[in-house]
Amino acid sequence: MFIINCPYCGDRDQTEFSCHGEAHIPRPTNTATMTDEEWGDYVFFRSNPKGYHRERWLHDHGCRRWFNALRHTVTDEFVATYKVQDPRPQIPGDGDQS
Amino acid sequence: MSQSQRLSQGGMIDRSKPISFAFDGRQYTGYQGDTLASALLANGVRLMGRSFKYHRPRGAIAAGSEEPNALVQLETGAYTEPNTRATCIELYDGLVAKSQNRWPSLEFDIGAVNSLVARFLPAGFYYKTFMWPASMWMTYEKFIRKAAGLGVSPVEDDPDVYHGTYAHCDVLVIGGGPAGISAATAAAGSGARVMLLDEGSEYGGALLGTSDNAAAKSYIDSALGALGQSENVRLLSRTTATGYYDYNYITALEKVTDHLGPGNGGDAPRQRFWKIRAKQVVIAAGSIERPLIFADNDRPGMMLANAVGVYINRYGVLPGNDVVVFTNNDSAYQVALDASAAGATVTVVDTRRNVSADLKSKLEQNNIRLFEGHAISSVQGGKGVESVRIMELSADGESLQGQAWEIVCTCVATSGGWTPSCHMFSQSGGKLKYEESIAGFIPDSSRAKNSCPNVSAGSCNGVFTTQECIAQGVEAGISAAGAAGRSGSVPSVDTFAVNEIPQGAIAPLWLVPTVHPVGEGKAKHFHDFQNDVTAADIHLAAREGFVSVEHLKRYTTTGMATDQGKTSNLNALAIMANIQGVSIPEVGTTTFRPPYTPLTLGAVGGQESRELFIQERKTPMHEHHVASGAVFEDVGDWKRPWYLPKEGEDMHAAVQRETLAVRESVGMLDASTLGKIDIQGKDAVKLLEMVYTNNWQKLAIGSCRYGLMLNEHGMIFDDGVTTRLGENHYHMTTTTGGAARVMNWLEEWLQTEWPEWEVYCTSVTEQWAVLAINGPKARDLLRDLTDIDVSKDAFPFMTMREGTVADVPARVYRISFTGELSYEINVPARYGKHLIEALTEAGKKYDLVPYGTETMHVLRAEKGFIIVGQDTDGTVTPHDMDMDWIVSKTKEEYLGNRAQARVDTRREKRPQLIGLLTEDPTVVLPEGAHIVAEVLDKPPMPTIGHVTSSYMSPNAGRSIALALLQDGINRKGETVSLSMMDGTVHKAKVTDTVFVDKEGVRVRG
Amino acid sequence: MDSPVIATPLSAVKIDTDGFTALELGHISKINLRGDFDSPAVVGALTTLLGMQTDLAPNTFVSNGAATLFWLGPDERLVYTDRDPDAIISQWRNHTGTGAVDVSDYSTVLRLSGQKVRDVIASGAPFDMHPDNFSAGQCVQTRFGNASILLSNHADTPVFQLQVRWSFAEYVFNYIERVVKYV
Repeated sequence: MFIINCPYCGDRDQTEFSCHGEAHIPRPTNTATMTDEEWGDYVFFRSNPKGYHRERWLHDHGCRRWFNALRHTVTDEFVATYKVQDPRPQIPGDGDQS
Repeated sequence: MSQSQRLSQGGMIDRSKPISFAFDGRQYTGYQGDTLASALLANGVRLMGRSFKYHRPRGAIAAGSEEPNALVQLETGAYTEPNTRATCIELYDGLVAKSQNRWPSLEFDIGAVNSLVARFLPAGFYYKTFMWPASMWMTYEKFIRKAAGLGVSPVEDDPDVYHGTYAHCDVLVIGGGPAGISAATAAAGSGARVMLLDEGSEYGGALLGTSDNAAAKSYIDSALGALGQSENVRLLSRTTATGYYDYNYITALEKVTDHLGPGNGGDAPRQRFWKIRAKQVVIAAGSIERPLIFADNDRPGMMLANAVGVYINRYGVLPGNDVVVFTNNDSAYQVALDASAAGATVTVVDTRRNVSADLKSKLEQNNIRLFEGHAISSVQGGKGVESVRIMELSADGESLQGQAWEIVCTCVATSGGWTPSCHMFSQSGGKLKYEESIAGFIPDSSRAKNSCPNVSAGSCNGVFTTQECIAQGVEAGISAAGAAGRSGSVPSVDTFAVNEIPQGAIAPLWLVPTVHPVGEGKAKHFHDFQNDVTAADIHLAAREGFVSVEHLKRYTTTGMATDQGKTSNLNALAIMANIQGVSIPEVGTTTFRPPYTPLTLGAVGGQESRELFIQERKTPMHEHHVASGAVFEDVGDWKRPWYLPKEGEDMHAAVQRETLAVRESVGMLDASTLGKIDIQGKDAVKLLEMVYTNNWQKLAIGSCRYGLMLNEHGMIFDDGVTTRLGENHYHMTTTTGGAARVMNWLEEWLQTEWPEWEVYCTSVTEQWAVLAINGPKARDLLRDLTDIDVSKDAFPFMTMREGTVADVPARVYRISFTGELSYEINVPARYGKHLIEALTEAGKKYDLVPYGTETMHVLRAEKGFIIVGQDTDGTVTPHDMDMDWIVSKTKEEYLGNRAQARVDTRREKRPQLIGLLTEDPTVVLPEGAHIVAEVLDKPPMPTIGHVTSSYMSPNAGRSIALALLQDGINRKGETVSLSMMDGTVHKAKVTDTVFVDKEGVRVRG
Repeated sequence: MDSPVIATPLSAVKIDTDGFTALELGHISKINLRGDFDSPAVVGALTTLLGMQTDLAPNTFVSNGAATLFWLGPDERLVYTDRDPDAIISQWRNHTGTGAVDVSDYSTVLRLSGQKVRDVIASGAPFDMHPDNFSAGQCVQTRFGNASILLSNHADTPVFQLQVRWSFAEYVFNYIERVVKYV
């Protein structure tokens, strides 16, 4: 059971939150010209890494804000939580991830 | 024979308080402070149960929660609890317990025949025998359940109540022995908020089992007294840490009133489930002694050496008058001395040949015989040990030699060394390391999980003297407090020493040989008592290739019983290592899993049972519905009136009456549960344009519009009416069940994708109490109560007007889910009760009929209005619903737009919504019935669709149905077949979806 | 017709036992305010309409007698007011161009007092209410059982207020009533 640092409310119990999958999947702006494959990739396909993962969380029972988290899917360590508009934090030990 | 084994003095029991109890129908007497096991032993009862698989006679081997054998069925009726460890049951007056897994009696057990066919019940037996054919499993299962099993679950409702609670602290200390007490003292002294848990009724841990426990008790009482003074300390005895989860989330079970006996707890809960969040954890969980594994080492009277010491010193019980101590390390020598001091004739059999002169002289002084380099080769006695034979071990320990000596004894105290309790550390994600000097695994603090900061102290960390444990505890307490940000003045903590002999130099002998090779001969070498697993089973598993430790565990079931292998796991690993010729750490350990000891599911649920299991949400009109005799339906979490029967009416009659009344006079429905969202901001219309399929730019202020929401797969996921209240101000409604989902949908897009848009969404679901009045007389009824001009021209269909209704402020929406002239009257919730009472009164002259959700469903189906989640299932598009009319052809973009053009959403023969009229108008098709392409003699038949909604419609004068049918829109006019479960086939005509008022005149009336 | 009677969900019940009382505060006018609380327009509106001089730190509330302002989120505040909410709402929207909604009836408020309050609420809420972590003037949106609540500390004696959605009120009350016996 995690403790999650809501960027607005601070450390809270995981049961106040819900996870909404991979973060940083922008909605395409050229939907009319996309192929079915490209559209399917946007709608259905997500990375499922064993390791660091940027994901979207909602503070359901708190401030009801969406925010992003960088979490390790094996150790469940939260490296950082950050507001949607914030720059992406570095993945530990990886100089070239933005 | 009364308490024949009770010593005349000593122990921490209260001899002034005798307690009577019953075991297997016989009455016995014990004392306050006894456990069931100690009281039985005091009464000379060694045989306490039968084993799981072979039904072998068994007695208690331990004095604590690691006990694998002495499981009893505690109490009777609704209070009964199976598999309760007699060593943990505090004795109370009137206690009733039964032994388990025996029939007809413990002394004579027919199932023990399993023992005679033991060679047919080896490891993997279930897998090999019962896998095929699968259809026979049901037959086998009955046999297995009867032949091999534990206690019996109660069949009645649990009469007890439970409490669950969260708790927070800086430092949680798990275990109240010398290490834990000193850690708590040090941490509290540093200013930390501390919780100290111990599973026993008394703090002190191993100190309670020492011969000078009186002095220890005063040391403990003094320390606990000081801790109790601090308001930042919470002391929880009878509380077991059951699980250690991420981010230092620890669950613990407190047995609040179990020790008082069933029904004696008053208002207090039986048990309390603690959900603890600790900044730092000190694990001081102690260690568990291992049995030596030798031939027939499971006979009643065989005990762990320390347990013998505990029974003598803590409970004043001598488990046997003739005691053989069988050991491979020093610690059991203290037990030999204690037993001798208690009057027993004691013999020590040590597998080692290098026993220290000091120990030897102590034995000599007490006339205790010592056999060095010897081992027990066989055991005599069935229902209890009567004697053992010992032989000399070969130099390599692999065989026995020389002459066998027979020693008469009724108790064998064995020690194979001590296993640190690493369960909590391992559950926290930490890795263990093998420590050769103690022949056991200990926590590798360098490989703890970052998110679970903890420190282990005391014998769970591999130190075995009281003074070392106290020193480690102090250090751990101070460092944990410091890590939690509490670094007050470092307190001094008293130390304490007891009569004890530490484990010392241990000479592991993981499997004591016999004259036969392993697995041959009649004797059995048990390492896992509770699941009846023997060394021979491990050899078999190895021969069959199950060498991975996780495979070994599952194939042999080692460590998979309710004791989770507390006394058996390391022995099993070591035997496997020996077979493979590798080191123990190379074999590795299995994963330690919660719970540490079995716990009651009721406690995990805590107070969240019965009506608190799931919230029942109620509208402001709920009381009125109850008074009106409503039968309620669960819609999401809501209680909604389902139908409101009159005297003598069944559901069908009530619904038919209500449905007719709405179209003939006027009906009234509580629609307060619909989701409502207030949307404001200059970009509000942009949001609506994106989330709905239709156009919203031109909606006039005061007007309403129906909208359909799609997900990005292009599938319908909610619908509702949205009204423009003002410039940049809208009121959206959603389905009852979809309210939270839609709110999240809007917010997720706004916050993550379009944060620059100025739109503010606020849930106002409960702000408004809503009554929908439907029917030709609705206008007349409303006119009597409102200052709003309700004339047809002033208040047309699909508009909203503000004013008062029944003298309270109201928004009235002229929208309809029934196809009738309809108004949805919204008032602030505080006036909801007032509104329904006023309407009920005013409605009398219009024959106003309250109706429920079932009638609502019939009425809307008569009009072909869909219910999202009933007629849709997450796989249907607007086109599938024959609702192309609501999909904008001009908007450039909206959510779900692109998916409409996917190959699959455009393909032919997708299921489409159509109406069905059965050839026999009295037949109401079951919802879910399959439309088949071809009727065959028996299923399977090719399915081309299914019924989604089906009712008897009094207004259509016949049954009606909606269905999803492949290419349905093009099949209108065709006749299709529906095959029922019982083989009946119904024919039905495919129609459009509107069955009443096809022209839609009434709604605009 | 008699003048309309105001009904609130918990008006008929209360708990008054040793160390714990719970009482519904009755109808309170409440407004949900939205906007950029750093912007001059919003700051000005707070001052003019509510007499609130400064903005709030997260998880705090402030009261000036006539109004109480709670932090709900970075762009969201909640006001309890003695005044006509409609007037404040329309002026707020005029002044700021941002959102304001009457949520008076969306939720109800229980006043909790007595020594057992923290233990009672800890039975259903995972938030640490120790005075070190939750002192007078602080508020927190968290979970109690399955209900979202707004809990505020009005005095460390303690006196808490618990706000809960109308439809969850009976559930929360029943929950409290059950656990009071256990703590």
